[in-house]
Amino acid sequence: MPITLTRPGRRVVRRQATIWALRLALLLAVLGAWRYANTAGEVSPLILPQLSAVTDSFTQLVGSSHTWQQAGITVLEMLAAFTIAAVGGLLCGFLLSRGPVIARTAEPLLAWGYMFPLALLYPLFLLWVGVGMGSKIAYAAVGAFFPITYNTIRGLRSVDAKYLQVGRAFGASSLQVDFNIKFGAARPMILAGLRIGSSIVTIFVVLAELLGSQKGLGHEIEQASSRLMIADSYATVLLLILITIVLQRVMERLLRAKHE
Amino acid sequence: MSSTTAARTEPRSVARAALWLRAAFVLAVLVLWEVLAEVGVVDEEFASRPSAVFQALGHLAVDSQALGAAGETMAAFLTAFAIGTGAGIVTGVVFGLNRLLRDAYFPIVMVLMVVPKSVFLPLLVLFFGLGATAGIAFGVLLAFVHVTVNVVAGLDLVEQKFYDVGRAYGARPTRLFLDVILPGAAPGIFAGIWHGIRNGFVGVVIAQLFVSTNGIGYLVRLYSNNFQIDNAMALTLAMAALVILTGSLWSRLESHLTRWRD
Amino acid sequence: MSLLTVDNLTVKYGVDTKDELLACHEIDLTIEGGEFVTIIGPSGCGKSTLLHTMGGLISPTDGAVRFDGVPVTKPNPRNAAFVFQDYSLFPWKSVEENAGMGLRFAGASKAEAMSQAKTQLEFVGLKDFGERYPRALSGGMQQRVAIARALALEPKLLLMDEPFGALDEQTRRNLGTDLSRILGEAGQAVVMITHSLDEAIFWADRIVVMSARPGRIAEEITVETPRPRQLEFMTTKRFQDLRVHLFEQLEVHQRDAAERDASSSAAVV
Repeated sequence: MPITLTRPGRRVVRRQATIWALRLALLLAVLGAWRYANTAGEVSPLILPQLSAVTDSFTQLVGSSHTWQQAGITVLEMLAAFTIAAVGGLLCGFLLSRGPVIARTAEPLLAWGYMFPLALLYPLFLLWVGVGMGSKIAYAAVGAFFPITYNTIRGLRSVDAKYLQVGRAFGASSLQVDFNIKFGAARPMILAGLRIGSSIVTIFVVLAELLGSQKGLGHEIEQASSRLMIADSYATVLLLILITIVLQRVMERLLRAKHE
Repeated sequence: MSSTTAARTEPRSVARAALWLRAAFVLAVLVLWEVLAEVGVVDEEFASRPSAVFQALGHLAVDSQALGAAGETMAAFLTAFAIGTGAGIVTGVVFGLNRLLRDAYFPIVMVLMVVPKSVFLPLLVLFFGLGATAGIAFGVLLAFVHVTVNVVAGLDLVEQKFYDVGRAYGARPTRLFLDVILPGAAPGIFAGIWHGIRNGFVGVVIAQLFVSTNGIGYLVRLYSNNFQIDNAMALTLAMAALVILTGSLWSRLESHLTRWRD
Repeated sequence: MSLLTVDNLTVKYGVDTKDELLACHEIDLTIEGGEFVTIIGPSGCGKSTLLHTMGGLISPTDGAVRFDGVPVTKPNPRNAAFVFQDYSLFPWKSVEENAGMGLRFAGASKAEAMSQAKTQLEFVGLKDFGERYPRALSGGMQQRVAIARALALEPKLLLMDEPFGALDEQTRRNLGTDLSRILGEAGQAVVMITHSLDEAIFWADRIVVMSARPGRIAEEITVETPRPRQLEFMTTKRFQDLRVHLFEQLEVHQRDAAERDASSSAAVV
């Protein structure tokens, strides 16, 4: 029974308007502060470029094929790393979930792997895999592997025994139980793992490109910053953010498509 | 009843067997690594070997540069953790209690959650320079986002019926907050703090690795570039142990404080 | 003067939207001090809405609810205290803290709340469970704690929303027998919503039958047999006659609602 009274329709519209007004206010506050910092000369243009310079630079970037080549490399690294981590993580998670002892053995190890400050190992990854795309992919895949595997095990292990009983009662084979019951019931947990994994992949790929590479948008940002082309660096950051948001949306669609 | 709970509560013997197996696994990895380095399959110059790493650990424990760097990192971490987690909890609670502000601004936090936050690193360096502050700022950013999201999720766990009881018994907002909202959201807040620990630390270390001229991150980069792999690994392992220990202790405390759950 | 009067009460949800819903329509009802009233009616007939409005959780769209002659605008648990169907105990508070929580919310000091909680827990037969957490208790025991929480305020009226709805038959009966003793001793007036014909009759001084949505009072039946009643009451002719009558009434209202829904959806098509 609803306790709070539903609000009338007019108010719903007004509420939406208020929400957008609040967002607009924040945007204006940020842009206003930015402009003020520019005009008052309080902040050096080497730290905060003119807003117009950033938008100019952004239009230029979007129009240049070089940018899209670099963006393609970054996206490719992200997709490759995520695919490797997802396939590896799901597979390992599935195999490790099959026995109680092996699952209990693996869970803390994987949790530690997730806690481990992998960033510190990146200089070593550069030594081992080289400065090319391989080191970015390997590094990001290792980072994402731990939470994906961990969540897969936890998800599969915590499937309520009553569902398994249904399967047994209807004479389902062990494989049928795995695919029709276990993966179905563990899905939310596995998806959560994949989400964490995807966010780690984007963070690590960009970080790796910033730290040491000759290609990719991260490298572009690093170059622009070190050459003091600050507007370019802001514009590239913006572009990279937009690209990852699009990637994230696409992934959400793919993950959701099957059931909802 | 017993068959439904069997999947979660495993017998003590399983836990003990798992403990041994885990120890055996870690030991096996170390031995394999040592052997492969010995016979030359693994190039010691690039990957070091366990015995060397442990030796390096002994040296570093009395090395003033390493200890200084560890101190700098810990100080930066504690600052970033305190600011990021504090701000995250406050923001999360505000979002949890005020529907309007939440609808307006929470999506922005969610976008920050999916965006690779490492892109802000170069900008933070522009703002704060190459010192410790940039690292703290990055740690704050990472911790803040994760803590906020978890606290909001925690507040969502407080079911409407509990608010109804409060209303039916005429609870004032402060009472409702202290006795219903805060304890009800405790699992989310604790998880948030855990993420604050992890992300605060990772953020600080990443920033130090990337740009800074101080702290563990800087030192590890220096060692790696000078092919002092044993030192780099020893330092990394020591830091990892510290973070994992802190995180585990926190999880222990958490399950004690929210023992009403199971 | 009557303890509580409901005067020409109308409650609508979502006023001015296309989802506008008339939950209660022009309801008149009075509750006397110490009286036990049960409300029965088809699902979704607005029983809960009526109860929540009586307790001040929902504001009337039209008409008024008065307690001791004063209009009810917000919940006042010292007048009328709620017992919810799903117990709604706080899992993070011990049983004793839960029992005292109503008083705490109503502004009592911690010491006062705790001592009352102890008294009431003993009263409902849970003296030894004060230190436990609710999850360790069965459904029936949890509902006893929720009743203790309400009784701790020593209210003049208890508003119970299907308090036994989630319990099994055996527990219902045990708790019911206990509760009749407890409520008899405590002397509160009670308004209780129920789905069970037996409960509606067994407990009531007066039975209120509601029609399907929009909720209206279709009939009020007085059960003269004095309370507390023995289980044998259920075997009497009076009880059986009432039971058949109520059953038929509910059937009629249920069918009306079904037909109306069918014709209105046909009209939409």
